[in-house]
Amino acid sequence: MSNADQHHGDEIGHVIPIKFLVFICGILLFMTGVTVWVSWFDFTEIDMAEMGIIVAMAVATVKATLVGLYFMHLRWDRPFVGFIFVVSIILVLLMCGLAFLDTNAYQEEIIPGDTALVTEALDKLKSDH
Amino acid sequence: MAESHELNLQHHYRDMAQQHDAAKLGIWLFLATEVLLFGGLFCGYAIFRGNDPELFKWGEQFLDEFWGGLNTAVLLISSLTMAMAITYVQLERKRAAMISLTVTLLCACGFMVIKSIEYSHKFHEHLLGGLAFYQVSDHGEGHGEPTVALEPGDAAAGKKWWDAACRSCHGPNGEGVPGQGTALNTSPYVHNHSDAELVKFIEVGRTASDEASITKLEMPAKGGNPMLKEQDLYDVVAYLRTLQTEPVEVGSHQVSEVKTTAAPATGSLIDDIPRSTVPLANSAPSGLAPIDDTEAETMAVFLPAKKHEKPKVPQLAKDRPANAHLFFGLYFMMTGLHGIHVIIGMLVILWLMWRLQRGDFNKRYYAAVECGGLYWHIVDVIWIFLFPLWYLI
Repeated sequence: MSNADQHHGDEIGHVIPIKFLVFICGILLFMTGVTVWVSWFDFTEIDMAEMGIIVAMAVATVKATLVGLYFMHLRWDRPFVGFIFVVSIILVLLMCGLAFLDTNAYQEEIIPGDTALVTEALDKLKSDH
Repeated sequence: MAESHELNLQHHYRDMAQQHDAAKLGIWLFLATEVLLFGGLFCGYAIFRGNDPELFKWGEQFLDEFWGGLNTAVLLISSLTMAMAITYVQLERKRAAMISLTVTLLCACGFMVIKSIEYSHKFHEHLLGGLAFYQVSDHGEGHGEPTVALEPGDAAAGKKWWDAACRSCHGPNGEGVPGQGTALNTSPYVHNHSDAELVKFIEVGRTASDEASITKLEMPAKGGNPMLKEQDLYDVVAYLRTLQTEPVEVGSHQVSEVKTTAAPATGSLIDDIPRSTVPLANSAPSGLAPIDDTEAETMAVFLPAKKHEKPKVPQLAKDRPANAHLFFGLYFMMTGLHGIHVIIGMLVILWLMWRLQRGDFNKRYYAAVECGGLYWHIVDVIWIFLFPLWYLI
């Protein structure tokens, strides 16, 4: 913003200072490191097997939010733009929620990738030649 | 402002700001559809993972978190330089903007190079779309040829069936029960036959009056449990293998009862398969194609690795889950679709560089750079989720 002041305010959009962008990127890289570090823990020992997933997804969500707010200018954009984005995410969550209603009714092997049959097919292939 | 004199203002917009806003609204609507597109795949991931969490914990060992993490860093830096390019264009610093876009493009290339290192390794192992795990159709088309002889059977699952069906006659550890069932832990028949042959035997069983029967006891088909599926039998055989001690020759006629009718079973060597990747331990000794010494040496290298070391090729893993193909199918679908987005993003960046060089953009007209940047950032955001989901947890 400050650099653009000399143009009498006729610029369009918000100018984000380079230093600030580098700072955000630093945070993002640091958080990536944290996620990798946390993934080395064995949470089953403290009886929290799902902890790894929760932490990883929480960090990823914060990272995505930072990218959205600052790299993608959502912080300074019209709220309607952010609204579109948030609605799309809500729709995805809705879809996941509905799809999850009947997952326990699935067959164990949803798509046959039966390896025993592969072996048999190999035998057949060989006897045919 | 003298908006009417703006060179780049389309006649149907009131002013440059409105034109800029309209362009951004358009790209954001597109990005929303991108979120929905990938959302479907993430939903699939969540369902498969929820149903079979072990599968994903198993599969993760075949994805290198170093390459995945490096790619995350590369993409984050490219996002930074993309955002920098927009700032520089807004400030009308053309040279700095050009450098930023160039670095973004180089990062994108780096991402694809790393991706191709990962992919080519997996292509080589026929893992694309999990094809190596699929059943081949009768006509040999549609699913592609099977390329590696697979080593089936999950001993842990097999124990369950053993205890339910086999144990009452063959004993808890396969030592046999007098008058009920023969000892299998020392059986040369078990020792000398491949998994596929044993499964065939169990499937039909053997009557007490059969000439080949040495015990003159009836072996009911599938151990008297018709519910068992073929995969279950392979699991049982895998468990049976874990019970094996040294075979004891009871009578010489036993070995001759081998009725390998058509082809030798597992360990089949199809011409175009790299032989070193074929599992050997359970293959029928009689049925193997002649192997020269050097080949035998190469193969021997792979034998000890099977039990104790981390398997290099997923098909050969002892503990391979039944839905292994699902893991690789979904992995290639999600990362592949993301990779296609990266390639499209690279083309967009090239186009932006060309227009920037031509002098198209100024502080009041740069919507194309901003929209290209937004697209690039959403590609980054998707990877931010893909990385932990596939490589870490």
